[in-house]
This record gives sequence, C-alpha cells and structure tokens, in this order.
Amino acid sequence: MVNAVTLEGVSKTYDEFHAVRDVSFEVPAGRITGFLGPNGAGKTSTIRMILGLLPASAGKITVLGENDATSVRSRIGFLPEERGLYKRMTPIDAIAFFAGLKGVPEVEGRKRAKAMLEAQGLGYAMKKPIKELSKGMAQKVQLISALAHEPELVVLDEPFSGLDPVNQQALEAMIREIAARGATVLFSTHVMQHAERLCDKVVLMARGRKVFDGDVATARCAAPRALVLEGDLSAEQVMALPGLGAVTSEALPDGGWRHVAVLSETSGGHDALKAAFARDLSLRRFELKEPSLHDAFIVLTGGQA
Amino acid sequence: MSRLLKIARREYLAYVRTVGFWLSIVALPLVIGITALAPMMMMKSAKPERLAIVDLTGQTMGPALAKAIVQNQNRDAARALRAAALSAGGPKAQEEVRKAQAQGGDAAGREVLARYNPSAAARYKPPRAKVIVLPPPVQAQEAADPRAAGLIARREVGEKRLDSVLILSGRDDAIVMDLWSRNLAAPVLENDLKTAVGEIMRERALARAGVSAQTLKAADDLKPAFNSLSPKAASGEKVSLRDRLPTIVGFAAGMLLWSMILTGASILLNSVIEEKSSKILEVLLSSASVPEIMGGKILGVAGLTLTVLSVWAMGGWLALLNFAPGLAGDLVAVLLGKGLLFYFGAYLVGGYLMYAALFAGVGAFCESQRDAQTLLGPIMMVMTIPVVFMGQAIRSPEAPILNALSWIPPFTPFLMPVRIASDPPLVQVIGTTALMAVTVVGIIAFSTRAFHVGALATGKIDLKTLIGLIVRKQAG
Repeated sequence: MVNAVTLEGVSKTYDEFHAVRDVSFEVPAGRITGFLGPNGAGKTSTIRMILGLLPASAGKITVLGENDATSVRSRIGFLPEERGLYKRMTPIDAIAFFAGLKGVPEVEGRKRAKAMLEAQGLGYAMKKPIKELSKGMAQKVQLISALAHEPELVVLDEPFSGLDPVNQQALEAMIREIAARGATVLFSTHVMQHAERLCDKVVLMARGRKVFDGDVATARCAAPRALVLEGDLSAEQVMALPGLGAVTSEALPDGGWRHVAVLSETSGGHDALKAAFARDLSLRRFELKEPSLHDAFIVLTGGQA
Repeated sequence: MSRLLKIARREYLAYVRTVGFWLSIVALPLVIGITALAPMMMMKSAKPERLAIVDLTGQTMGPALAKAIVQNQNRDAARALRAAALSAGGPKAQEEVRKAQAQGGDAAGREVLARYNPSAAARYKPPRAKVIVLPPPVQAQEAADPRAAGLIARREVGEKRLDSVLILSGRDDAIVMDLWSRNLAAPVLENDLKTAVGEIMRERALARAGVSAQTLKAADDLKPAFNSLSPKAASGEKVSLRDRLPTIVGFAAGMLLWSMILTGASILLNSVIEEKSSKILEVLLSSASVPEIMGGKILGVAGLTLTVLSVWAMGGWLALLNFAPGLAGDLVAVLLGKGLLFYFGAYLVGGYLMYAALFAGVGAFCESQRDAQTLLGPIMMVMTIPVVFMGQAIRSPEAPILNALSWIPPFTPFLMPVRIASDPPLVQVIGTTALMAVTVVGIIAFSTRAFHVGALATGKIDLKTLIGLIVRKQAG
C-alpha cells in the first residue's frame, strides 16, 4: 500500500456553507504528513471525513485501502482537537478501555498501558484519577489512548495546542517514535515550526481549498528569498538597488534601520550587494534569508494565518 | 466482548463504583421508612397523658367518662391485635383472632395469632395507653364552681403534677367541658374527650326519654351484613383482599416504573452530557458506531436501574417476609398468577428504551444541565401527565379518559401497568403494547440520528434548531 489515505475531489457542505471544496491529496504510508491551514480552513471537517465521522458531500476517500473508514476503525488511532477523558477513571483503565474498543484484549491493553505510561514518565500516576493530573499529563494519557492498539494510521488534530514547550518537544518525540515503528501519521496544526521539524510532506488548506501539497522544501519555494540589510541607509536607497522587490523596514533600537527586501526570481542578491558597496552605502550587516514554511504558509494562504 | 458490551460495562462500573450511587439506593427506602414509621415511633415513645377529671355535675359524669376512656383504649388494643393478625397471617387469621377476642378477650386473640405465626405473636406489643386517669386534686373536686376549680387545675398543670385537668360542670343536656392542658397548640385528648362525653350525654338523654340501656346498645350494634361481590373475584363472587391486591400492585408498579424510567433516563442524560462536554464523544465515535455507543450506554444504565430495582425489591421482600408474611404470599400469587410480572417487565423495557433513547439523543446536543433543561422541559411536562391519572386508575380503571390516554405511546408504559390488573380488553393490551413497540423503534431510529448529529455539533442549540438538524437531509 503506497498511500494510507487518498482523497479525490472531496467536498463538504453544511447548508449553504462550503467547508471543504474539491480537495484531493494522498497521505503516504509510513510517513509523517502535516495538514496545515489557518483556523476555519476546513482541516477538522476533512479529518472527520477521513475518519468516517462525517459523510463527504462529494468525492471519494480511501483509508487503508478501504472506501469506508469505519470498517478499519481498529487500525486507526485518533486524537481530536478538543480533548477529554473520563475524569474519574485512572489512566490505566482509560487506556485499556479505549484499546479494548479497538479490539485489544483487556489484559493486553492494561499491560501496554502500563508500559507506555512508564515510558512517558507517568508510571507513578497510572492509578490516580485523571482529574488529578495536570493538563499536559492528561494530554499524554489521551495520546497513549489513541496509540495503545498500535494503529497503522494515526490522525492527530492540533496535537500541540495547549501544551507548554517542554511537552510540545516530548510530543514531537512521540510522533517520531510512531513513525519509526512504521505507522503513518497525519497531524493538523497551524504552528508551522512543528510541521517543519517533523513532516515529510505537508498539505496546506485555506478557505476550504487545498493550496499546496508536497514536501517541505518545495513548500518553502512558494515564498521568495529575501536580502536583509542593516545600517544607516534609507528604504529609498535600498529600493534603488538592482534585483530587489518589495522592501519592509524597521528602526533598530541602537539607531539605524533594518530593511528586508524581497529578491526577484532571477536575483541571488549579489548584484544588490555589489551596488550597495559601489555606492558606499553605510551597511553594518547583511544576510541572505531563506524562506521558512511560515513564510510559505503566509504566501500560500493569502495572509490568513 | 463486543464494543457495545464494553461501553455498557464501563457505564455500569462508572456509577456503581461511586459512593453516591449506593447512597441514592439507600436514600429512597430510608425516606419512605422514616415517613411510615415516624408517627408510629412518636406514638410509642410518647408518655401517657396524666389526666384528672374534676366532676362538678353531680351526675357521676366523671366516673362514666373514666370508664369510657378505658373502654376506648381496650378497643384500640383489640384493633391493633387484629391488624397484626392480618399482616402476619392474612384475612383468615384476622377473622379467627376477631372471633377469639369476642369470646375470650385479647389473651385468647393472641393465642390464635400464635397458632398462625408464633414469631409475630411473640413480637406483638399492645399499643401504649394514651391516657392514665388519675384522681382529681381534692381542692378542685370540692370547689364551689368551675372557676375556682380552674384555679386549682391551672396550678396543677402549671407545676407539671398533671398533664391535663378536665373540669365537667353543668347538667343533663348542658354539660360544659373546661380542659386545662400544657399543650397549647392541640390538646392531645380534646377530640377523644369531646366524643366520649357526647356519647354519655346521648345515652343519658335517651334514658331520660325512656329508652333503656339494653335497647340503646342493641340499636348501636345494628349493622347491615355487607357483601362485596364481583364476577372478577377469584371465588367468582365474594371479593377478598387478594382480589383487590392486583389493582394496588398495579398502581405501585406504575409509580415504580415511572420513577425507575425517569431515574434511568436522567442518569443516561447526565452521562451523555458529561461525555459531550468533556469531548469524549468524538473519540468514542472514532472507536465505535453510534448504535454501539448508544446501545452500550442504554444497556449499562439499564443494568444500574435493575441493580437499584433488585436491591429495593429484595429489601421490600425481606421486610414483607418479616413483618407481613401473609401479604408476601398473596403478592407472589398476584404477580405470578395473573402474569403481572411479565407485563410489568415488558412495560419497564418498553418505557425505558423509549425515554432512554430520547434522553441520550437530546443529551448529545447539550454541554451543560442548563442546555438540557431547555430541551427537555416539554418532555418532562408530558411525563407528569400519566402520574396525575394513575391514582384515578385505581378507582375506575375503565374510565374512558384512561382508555384513551393508554393509547398514547409515551403514557402506555405507566398507565397500562395500573390498568392491566383490572383485566382490560385483550385488544387494548395488544394494541397499546404494539403501538408502544413501534414508537420505541421510531424513537431509537430518531435518537440514533440525533446522537450522531449532536455529538459533533458545537454551540448552543435550541429545540427548533435541534429538530432542524436532525430532520434536515444532510448534504453528505
């Protein structure tokens, strides 16, 4: 199986509102795919359709080789955007219960829950009611609940939201571990740094439409490179340099200006630098800035982020 | 184990493991027990009233009244013994005890009770005397008028040497009763004393008119022989307590079913609200189908309801065996003999499924109790209607209004158990039950759809929006 998930011309309409319009993409098996887009882009609706929670208004979805995701429920792990667990249950009971719903026998489920909780440093809390755990701990428990049945496809809807930087890093490590054991991971986020660090592939959505589908490096190409110039030179002087496009400027705290000038497609920035030195402009520092995924995201989504 | 059973098991254990669940099981019987026993316990623990009768009539009204008080207390004791015989040995034992009392007094009655139920006879204690008649203060008895006697009575009561002092004055048809008592709100003896003195005045007035005491007693003893007969009676004619028991049991079952169904459906509603508000429903939906989730939850809460019912039934049964074994036997005969147990079971299942599915479906749209109140208000109002008519069903189970209401499926599970004991026409039994079954299937289908839509819906939803969401044909 090359692709774990395939969407072909999928749309979702609520009354007059088009949440998802004619979206097609693939999630390669055994890889980490980021599903990116600003709030309201249609990510959650698409994920719900992939999972079979919502019917698609049009198009075709194939999940793990099946047209109906509900027939392969036990092979999918899901972490929803808004998270919750039975507050009076203990982590070990909750994990075993959800694993049980996916077909894992209770004894085995409890064994796996214990091992996974200990691996995440939550062994001491496995028999405490979940209501007594911190938010970060509870989120880890929920993620373990989604993984305890060792799914082939793991779908995570905004998994990093609400986590502190330490727990975000721990979650990134967990996602890498999931992929390392051969599972496919599809996660949605609007924080590009996570996608940049984790993903083999990204799919960008905006206003219900797919605006990009490819690897991170290609996505970055959607945004232009820029030349950063700092010194006692004006925006007009920068704009007069060859091979540069739009310029944004900001004053520096210790005096002088910081100008970020977009490089034209054919320019590598050398012409502009040569001209700056030739004109004896007061330049303290320069830098060739490669576009980030965030920059690409801004360009591709039309600045909706 | 299937997903449905796993969800049911979790639902059951989540509640059964809480202290609150067991407290709630104990709470209702405890309240009923206290309500029933409190007056009896208060009566038993109350000290007898120390009463003195000051007779200024010069017509021996005082001694006659003292004698009447003792006779009344003896009659109360005899009645209590017969009541004990009824609950311990049934109507036959009661009748035997009555005959024995007539011939040999209460001692003979107790011997008969012991033959029927030795432990009940050993346990039986005659009711405590409400009044002890003490000699009046000499100064009061020798007082010239009621006012002077009243001053003495006031002192005696005030200084707690006596609880009450009754001063009788006047003559013949104009007897005056002045009762001095420590109890301001309601003198305990007031009604008893007024009745007793009234009786004595009536007897004496008739005597003065030439009616002898024997004639008067004979006239008082005149009672028509009354037979309650019915072709529906077990004997074919004479109606016994056992014949009336099914109607009483039906009423009790109707009320029980109403409270059980409401309790079960409410537990289910709270459970769904908790899962919806804590976003667990979406995870559940990714792990199991809607029928599995709803079915599991309904089954789990049904288990809870049956646990409550079983504990109550067992407690009630033990209490009956201990305190009224005769009634226990009759109850079993009624429940099994007329197939009432089967009908009650069928209506419990039908009613529970109907309301539980509805509450679960509505609960999926609610993130708080406040949301639920808005949506369930109309349903709760409808649910109170059968309660109003259940009492009516005891007196006239064939009333046209009851007949009509029984055909309305939401009322069927409550009204038919009450009516079933009076043998309604078979067509009504089959027709209402079939209609109820069809409605149950319809409501489950509707609620399953509502549950799915509600579980993924967000924001505040009113009744109109809810119906629109469910009925609307989804684009997908």
